[in-house]
Amino acid sequence: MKKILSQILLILVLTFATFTVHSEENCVPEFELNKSVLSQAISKDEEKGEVFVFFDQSTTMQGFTIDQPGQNNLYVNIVDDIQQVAENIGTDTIYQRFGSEINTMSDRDVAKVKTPKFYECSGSAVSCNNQFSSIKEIFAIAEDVPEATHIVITHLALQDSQLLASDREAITGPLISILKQGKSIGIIGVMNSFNGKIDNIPLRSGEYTDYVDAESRPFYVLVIGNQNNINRIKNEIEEKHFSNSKDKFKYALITSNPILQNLNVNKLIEENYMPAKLSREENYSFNYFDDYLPIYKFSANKKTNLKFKISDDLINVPGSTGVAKFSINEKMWTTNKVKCRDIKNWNEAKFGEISSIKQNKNDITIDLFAIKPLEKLFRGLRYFYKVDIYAEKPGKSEKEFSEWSVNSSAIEEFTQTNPVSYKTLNLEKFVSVLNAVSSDTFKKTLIASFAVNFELIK
Amino acid sequence: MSMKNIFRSVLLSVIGLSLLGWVSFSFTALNALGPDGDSNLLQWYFDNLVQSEEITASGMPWEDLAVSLYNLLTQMTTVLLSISVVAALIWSVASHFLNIDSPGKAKFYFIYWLIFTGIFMAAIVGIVFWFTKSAAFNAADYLSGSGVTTISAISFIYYFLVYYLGILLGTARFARSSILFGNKLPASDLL
Repeated sequence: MKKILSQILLILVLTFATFTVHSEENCVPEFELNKSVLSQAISKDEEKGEVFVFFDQSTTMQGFTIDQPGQNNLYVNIVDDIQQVAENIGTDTIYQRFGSEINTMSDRDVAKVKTPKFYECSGSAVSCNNQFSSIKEIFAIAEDVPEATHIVITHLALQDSQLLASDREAITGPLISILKQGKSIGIIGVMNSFNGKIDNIPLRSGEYTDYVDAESRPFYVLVIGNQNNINRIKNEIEEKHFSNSKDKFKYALITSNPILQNLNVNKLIEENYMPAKLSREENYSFNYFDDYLPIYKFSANKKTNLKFKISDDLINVPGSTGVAKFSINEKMWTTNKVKCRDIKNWNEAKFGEISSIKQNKNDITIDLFAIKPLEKLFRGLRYFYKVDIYAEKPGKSEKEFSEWSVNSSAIEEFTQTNPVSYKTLNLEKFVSVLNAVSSDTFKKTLIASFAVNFELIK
Repeated sequence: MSMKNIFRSVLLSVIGLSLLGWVSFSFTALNALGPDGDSNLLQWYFDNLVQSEEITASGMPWEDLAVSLYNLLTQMTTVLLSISVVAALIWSVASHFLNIDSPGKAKFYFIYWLIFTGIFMAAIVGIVFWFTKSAAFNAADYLSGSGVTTISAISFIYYFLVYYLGILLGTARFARSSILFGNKLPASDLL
């Protein structure tokens, strides 16, 4: 008797379980989940490789090594920090100097980098007065050895000709290749004391002039490699020297993908991304479907406030240009069966645009049913509305550096004002070239997906 | 005043109500049966009463959605017909109690009839509004602006006529002058 009763009980339990599972399945229409592979791409980044450190050996760099009374000189310390980090992050560190050409450095030279002697020009007077740092060569090396991290310490003053035609292509070509391989470029700017000569300042007449009255001037650390190493170097410099004052430190991360992660892969979407009031609606529940898609289920009325908010911190790679434009892909299904167990099929609605997406200072907000308001939907129906949020365009970072940049057309007037703090020639143009390449290589990226499943009751 | 005359009035009122009331009755019965995919009525509703574009966009088959609209119309026409019948019978019976003790005094009660009819028509408007514009019925959402106007106009005219025919025949013979065109009715044993 006991055996029969337990068998009946088992059958009842199994039937109920099957029924419940079946009911839950009916509550979701059939659709294809666009699963992101973004997190896998990031995890690939972890491998160590060689580190190439390039020191700009042009004579003007000498000014950063000589103290200027009343000004804080961080160059020596920062070079020291970079050398230490470089030794730690890579399997092997290779030091190179660059000016008009690139040469490998001996250990003795590496020790001299922090002294003025390293920057003394040993060539003829003509060649010493016409130094253009060959930055394009470094990009070419970075393209050839993409698994390595490349660190460049330079004043980064580039002539117009270095950012035009074939010289520009010599930068953008390798850059496209570097970004496509998932690598990034970090630009760290440090306003430092300067006591030396700024040469090769272009004049309108086509001649060049010098300037020796600058007391401070920015130098730059460019880091080409994976984001983790770039951030490590940036954090090392920022935390050690600029924890209190940020005005003499600037940073931008240029990457083909400034997206940190897909929120679904890491199951980061939580109930509180929707207004707290929603959880007090009738029949409310919050669950992940297929361990991927979060679904907010509730009974709604025509005045229910549905705003989905995501913080920028969860989306953007820290320090990167972020995302300039977002878009949404939306799909909606309807059924007139309110209870899940009664639903036989869902009907795909063709409402066109339903919601709007707004980018605020620190977050993005999806105003659900802003375009197709709930008031216009029919009561008595159950609606399933799925939203995929995409990053459409990366942000730009040239404005970050505009304060320290001067164009070739304005540098003559700027120099005539006898500035104490000298700006970098064509810095903004250089960053905009990098940004343009980053925009071109950027691919529309799925950031998050979520769904709302509701019955419209009043 | 005799009970015989009152019963006669009630009977005549019912006949008057039936002259047009059968249409409402049939319509209610037709709606009560629910939508039939091939019926012209279902198509007529789709073309004339509802927000057809919105319904198409929702992806829902119209036949599925129409079930609740049929239910709405069944209940609304039942209430409208019932109130028309009740109003016509109340007036028909009440007309026997009007204090008409001299010739020409019946005309004085025209104002009474007018107020009573006004209240009846207001009730018709209120009922149509409650069914088509309030949150009482989900199916009201399907109705278009022109659909509500059509339903309101037809209900207003049609149920007034049902009621009017009911009171025209049912009003006490001596009080006929109190209703519109009541005195035009030929005096006979039957009426």
